[in-house]
Amino acid sequence: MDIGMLFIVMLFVGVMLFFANQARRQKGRNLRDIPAFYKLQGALEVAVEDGTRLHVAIGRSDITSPQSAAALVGLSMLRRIATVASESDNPPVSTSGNGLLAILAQDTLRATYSQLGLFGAFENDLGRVTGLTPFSYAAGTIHLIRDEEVSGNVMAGTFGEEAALIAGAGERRQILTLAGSDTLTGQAVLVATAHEPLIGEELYAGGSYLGAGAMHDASLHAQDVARWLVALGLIGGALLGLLGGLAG
Amino acid sequence: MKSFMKSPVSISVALAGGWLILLAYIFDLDALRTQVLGWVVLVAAAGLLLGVLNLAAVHFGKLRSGTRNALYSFLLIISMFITFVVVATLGPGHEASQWIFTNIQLPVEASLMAVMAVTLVFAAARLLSRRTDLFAILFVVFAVITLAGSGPLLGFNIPLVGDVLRPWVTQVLAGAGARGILIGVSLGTIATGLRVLLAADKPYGA
Amino acid sequence: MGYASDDLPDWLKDLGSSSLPSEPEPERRAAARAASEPVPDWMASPAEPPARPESIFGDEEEGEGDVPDWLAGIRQAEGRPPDAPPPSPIQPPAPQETDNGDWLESIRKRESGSLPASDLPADDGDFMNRIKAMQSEDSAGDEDASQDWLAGLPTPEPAADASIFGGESPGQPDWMSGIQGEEPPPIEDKPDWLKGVGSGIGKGFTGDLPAGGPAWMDAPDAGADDGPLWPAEESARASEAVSQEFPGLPKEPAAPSWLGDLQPTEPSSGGAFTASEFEEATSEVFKLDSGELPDWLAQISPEDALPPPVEPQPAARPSGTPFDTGDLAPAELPSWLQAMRPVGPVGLEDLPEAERGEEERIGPLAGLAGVLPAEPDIVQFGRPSSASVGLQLNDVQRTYAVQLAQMVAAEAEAHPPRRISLALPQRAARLAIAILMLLFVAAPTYLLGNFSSLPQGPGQLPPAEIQAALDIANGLNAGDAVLVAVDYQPALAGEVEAAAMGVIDHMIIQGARLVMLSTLPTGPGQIQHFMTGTQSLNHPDYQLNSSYYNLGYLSGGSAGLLQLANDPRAALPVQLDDGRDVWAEPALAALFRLRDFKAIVVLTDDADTARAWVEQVQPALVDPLSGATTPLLVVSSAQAEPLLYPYLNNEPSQIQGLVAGLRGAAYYEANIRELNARRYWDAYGAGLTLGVATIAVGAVLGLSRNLLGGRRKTAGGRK
Repeated sequence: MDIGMLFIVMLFVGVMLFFANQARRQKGRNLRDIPAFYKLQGALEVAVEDGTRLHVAIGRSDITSPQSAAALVGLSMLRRIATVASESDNPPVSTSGNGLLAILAQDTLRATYSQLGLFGAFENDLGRVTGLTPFSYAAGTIHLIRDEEVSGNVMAGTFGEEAALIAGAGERRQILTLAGSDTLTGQAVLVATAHEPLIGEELYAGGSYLGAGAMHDASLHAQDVARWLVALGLIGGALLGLLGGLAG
Repeated sequence: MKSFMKSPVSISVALAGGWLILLAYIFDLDALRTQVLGWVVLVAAAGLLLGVLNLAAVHFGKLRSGTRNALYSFLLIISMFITFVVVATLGPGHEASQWIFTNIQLPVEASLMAVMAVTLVFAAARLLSRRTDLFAILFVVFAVITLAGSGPLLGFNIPLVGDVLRPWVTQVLAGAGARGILIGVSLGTIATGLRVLLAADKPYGA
Repeated sequence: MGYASDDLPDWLKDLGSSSLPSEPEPERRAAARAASEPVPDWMASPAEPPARPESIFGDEEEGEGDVPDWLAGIRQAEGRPPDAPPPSPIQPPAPQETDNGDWLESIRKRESGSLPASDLPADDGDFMNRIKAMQSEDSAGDEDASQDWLAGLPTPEPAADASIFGGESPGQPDWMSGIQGEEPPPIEDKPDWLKGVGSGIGKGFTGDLPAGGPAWMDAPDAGADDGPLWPAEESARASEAVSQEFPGLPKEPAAPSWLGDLQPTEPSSGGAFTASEFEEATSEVFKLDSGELPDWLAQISPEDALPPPVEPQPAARPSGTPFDTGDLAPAELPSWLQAMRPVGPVGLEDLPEAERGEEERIGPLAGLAGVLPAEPDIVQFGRPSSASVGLQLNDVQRTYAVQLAQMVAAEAEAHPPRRISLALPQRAARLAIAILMLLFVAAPTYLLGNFSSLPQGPGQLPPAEIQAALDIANGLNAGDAVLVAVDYQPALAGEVEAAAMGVIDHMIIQGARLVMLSTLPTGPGQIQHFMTGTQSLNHPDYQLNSSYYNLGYLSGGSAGLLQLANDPRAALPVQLDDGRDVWAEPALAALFRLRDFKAIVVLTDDADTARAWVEQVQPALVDPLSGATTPLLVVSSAQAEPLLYPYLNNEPSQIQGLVAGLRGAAYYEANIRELNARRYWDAYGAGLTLGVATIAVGAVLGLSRNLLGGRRKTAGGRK
C-alpha cells in the first residue's frame, strides 16, 4: 500500500474542497492576471458580433495517457466557449488528432447545447478529427482555419512541433491565437508562433479564467499551494544536501 | 447532483473507473489494475478506428455539400479506402502497403516538416518585431546559441559554442526550466484528474 | 389546390389556418366588381396555361416560397392567408370563363352567384376591398415597380412625392412596392408564388390538403436549415444563459417587439389532416399570450382571426350591407406607425365625415379612416395614383424610415467571409527563406562533399551519454534479444533514422535479435521502412521473422506501455503469417518479462514519449532481488535532447544512454563507422547556418525598429 500517494491525493482533495468552500462564501475571485484569457474573451465577443467562428483545438493526446489532462482542460474551455458563443451564427468548432478526443468534444458540445436548449444547433462535425498523425492533424486544421470563417484560434491540449503550423495558419489569417500545450516542445514552438502562448501550468487555468466553476478556481489555488510546497521542499532538500556535503 | 440525475450511468461509470484505477495503484491491486488496463487498451484501439470513421464522415459531408474544396475531400476518401483495403487484405508488411507508406505518407509528412522549419525560422526572426521584452530577447539569444552549437556553421564548429555553451544551456538552463515547467504541468495534471474524479469536470458531456 | 399539411413547414401551417377571415364579402362591392372589373389575362388563368420556366421549387403550384416570416405574420394579422398576394392596385381585366381553379375565377363565380359562399376563400372581402380601394385612386400618379413579382410590368416613373412606400426608398418592402403597379403583367411573367395562389385560396383552406409540396417544404426542418441555427425561443434561452455567464458581453441590438413577435413560434411535426382538423389545430397554436404579441396585434383576439362556423349563407348579400365587424376592436396604432400618418395642413379630424373615407377595420391601420383613401363603390381603371398610399413625411421621419429599411436590409445580407492574407513583404520573406533553405540544404548534398568537420575530432572522446550508448551495444552478444520501440512519426523519419542508423547497425553487427514494436499507428510501416531503408543494404541477410521481429502497434499509449511492462506477451499477442505465435519462436521463447531483454532501445522524436517509457516501463526493468537494471537507451530527435537530460543525469539514472539528433549520430558513427550522419552532416550545417543568420538578422532588425520606434514615439510625445 502506497501511503505516500494516498496522503498526497487526500491532501490535494482536501485543499481543493477547502478552497471551493471558500469560493462559495466569498464574492469575487482572486486570480492573477493572465492577459491571454482577457484577449480570448474579446475574441469571443467579436465572434458573437461578427457571426464568425471560434476554433478550439484540443490536441492529439491519447485519452489513456497523462497528457489527457491537457485535453480535458481544452474540453472545459470548449464548453465555456460554446456557451458564450452560442449566439453566434457559426458555433465553435473543435478539432483533435485522436478519435476518442473527438467523441469527447462532440459529447461536450452536445451537452452544452442541450443545456442551453439549442440542441438543434449541434452537429456531429463540430467535433472532428482532422488527422491521426501530428502533422496530418495540423494539415487538416490549417484548412479549417482558412476555409471556415474562423476569427479566433484556441489551442489547448497536447501539441508538439506541429503546433507551429496551426499557429502559423492563425498568423496568416491575422486572428488571435491563444495556445497552450503540456509538452515542452510545443510550448517552445508556441512562444515564437502564437500571439498568446500559455506557459507551464497556465494552460490548466483555462477553465477557471473562463468561469468554468468554483472547483476550477479551487483546483487552481490548490496547485498554487502545492507548488509552494514543492518549491520549499526543493530548497530545503538542496540546503540539506549542501549542509550534508559540507559536513561530510 | 443535478447533472448526476440527468446522466447517472455515464457519471457512475466514469467515477467508478477512475477511482478503481487510483485505488488499485494505492493499494497495489495489480490484478485488478491489469484487467482494467486491458479494457482501456481495447477502447483506445477502438478509438483509433473511430477517429478514422470520423475523418471519413467529415470529408464525406464536405463532398456531399459540394464545398469549394470538395475535390480534396474526394481524394482523401478514395485514398483512405484504397489504403484500408490494401493494408487490411495484404498486411502492413506487404510490399504494396510499404509502397504506399514510403511513397505517399512519408514524403507528404516530410514536406510538412520542411514547411514547419521555414515557419519556425520566420517566426523566430519576427519575434522581436512583434514583442520586444526581456523574455523574447532571451528566447532568441538562447535559440541562436543552441542552433549554432548543434552543428557546423559554414563548415566549421565554432569553438566553445558547441562544446561548452550549448551543453550548459541545454543541460543546466533548459533542464532547470524544463523541470520547473514539468512540475507545474504535473500539478495541473493532478488537479485536472481530481476534478474528474470528483465529478466537477465531466468531459463526457453529462 | 392547397398544400398537404404534412409537407408544409409548421410555421406555414400555422399561418395558413390563422389567417382565415371571418368576414363575408360585402355584396355591394361584389356587385360593382361584377359589373365593371375586367380580369387581367395573367390573373384569368387561361385554360391552357402557357409554358413557363421551371420553378426552382419543383412544383410550380406551391405558391411563393420566399415570403419572409415577418411578412407572413403581417399578412396573417391582416386576415390574409400567407400565400395570398398583397393588396394589389392592378386592375383585373374583364371576366373570362376558365376551367381552372383560379382564385379570381372563384371570385367571379361568387359575384355571379354561381358559387356558394362557403366554397369561397374567406378572405376575399378584405383582399378585394383593398384592391378596389387602390383602384379607386387617381390613376395619374407614378409609382415604383421594383417588386420582384411584378418584374414583368413596365417600369413606372418615380413618384413625385417620395415616401417610404411611395417608391423611392430602396429598402421598401417588396409587397408595398408593387401596390402601385401600373399594368397587369402577362401570364408568362406571373411569378411562381402567384401561380398557385388562385388555387390555393380557392381550395386550400376548405378541402383536403394535397400531398405535393415544393422541395423546401418537404424537409421537415427546412426552416432550421435555411434560417437561423435555432428558433427564437431557444435563442432567447441561450441569450439568458450567456447573459448570466458573461454579464459584460455586448448584446445584439434588440429587434422591435412587433418584429420579434411575428416570428414563427415553434416547429412541430406535420401530418396529413383535413381542413377542419387543420383549422382546429392551428387555432390552438395561435392562441398566443398577449405578452407575445405586439400592442396593435394584441387587440385582435384569436377568435377574430378564426373562420366562422360554416353555415348556409345566402349567395349574395343585398347591396349596401356593411361589413360584419364582429367583435373586432379598433386597434391602437403603434407609435412608430402613428408617426408616419399622413400629415398636412388639414388633419383628418378636421375633415367632414364624408371626406374622411372609410374606416379601416383590420390590419395595422385598423381604426383609422381615410389613410388609404378609396371610393369603394366606384371602380376606375387606369393607373393608380401615387398619392393613394404615399405618406407625407418630414425629413426626420424619412431619415428614420430609410435607416430602418437599411437596417433590415443589412440584417438580411450574408457577410462574405473575411479573407485576410498576409502582407506581401511577409509572404515574400517566407518564400525567400524557403528557397534559400532548399538551396542551402541541397547544394552540399549534391555539389559539395564532406567539407564540414565532424564534432569529434581525432583522438577526442565522445560525450558521456554517447559513450554509454556505445557501451550498451558493445555489451551485446550474438542472439541477445533487444526490444526496439520505433516511436517517431513519419515527418521526422529523416532525422531519427539517421540518428538511429549507427546504433542499430552496431547492434546487428554484435549479433543481436531485434524485437520491434511501436506505440504509434504508423509504427508498423515505419519499422519496415527503417529496416529496409537503412539496414538491408549493409545487412542483406538480416531478415524479418528470422533475424528480427515486427510485433506491430501497441495501442493505449501510456496504459499500453504499462501493460507491456506488466506482461509483454499479453500486451502484444502477435501471430506470424503462417499462424504461429511469435512468442514461440526460438529467439523469443525465453522472454516473459521486459527485463529478460538485454536492452531496450527507444527511437523517438518526442520527449514525452521517452518520458512515458521512463515512467511506465523503466521501473519494470529493475530486478527487485538483485537490483540489476536492463539498460534503456534512447535515440531521439535533437528537439527532445534538452528534455531528456534530467532522466540521464538522475542518480540512479533512468536513461542509461542517449544519442540525440544528427550531432549525436555523428559522434556515434565516428566511433564505429561512417554511415548516413556523415552524408547529412554538411547539409545539416548549411541549413543551420542559414537558420542562425536569418534569426539573427531578423532579431536585430526587429529590435532596432522597435527601439527606434519607441524613441520616436517618446520624442513625438515630448514635442
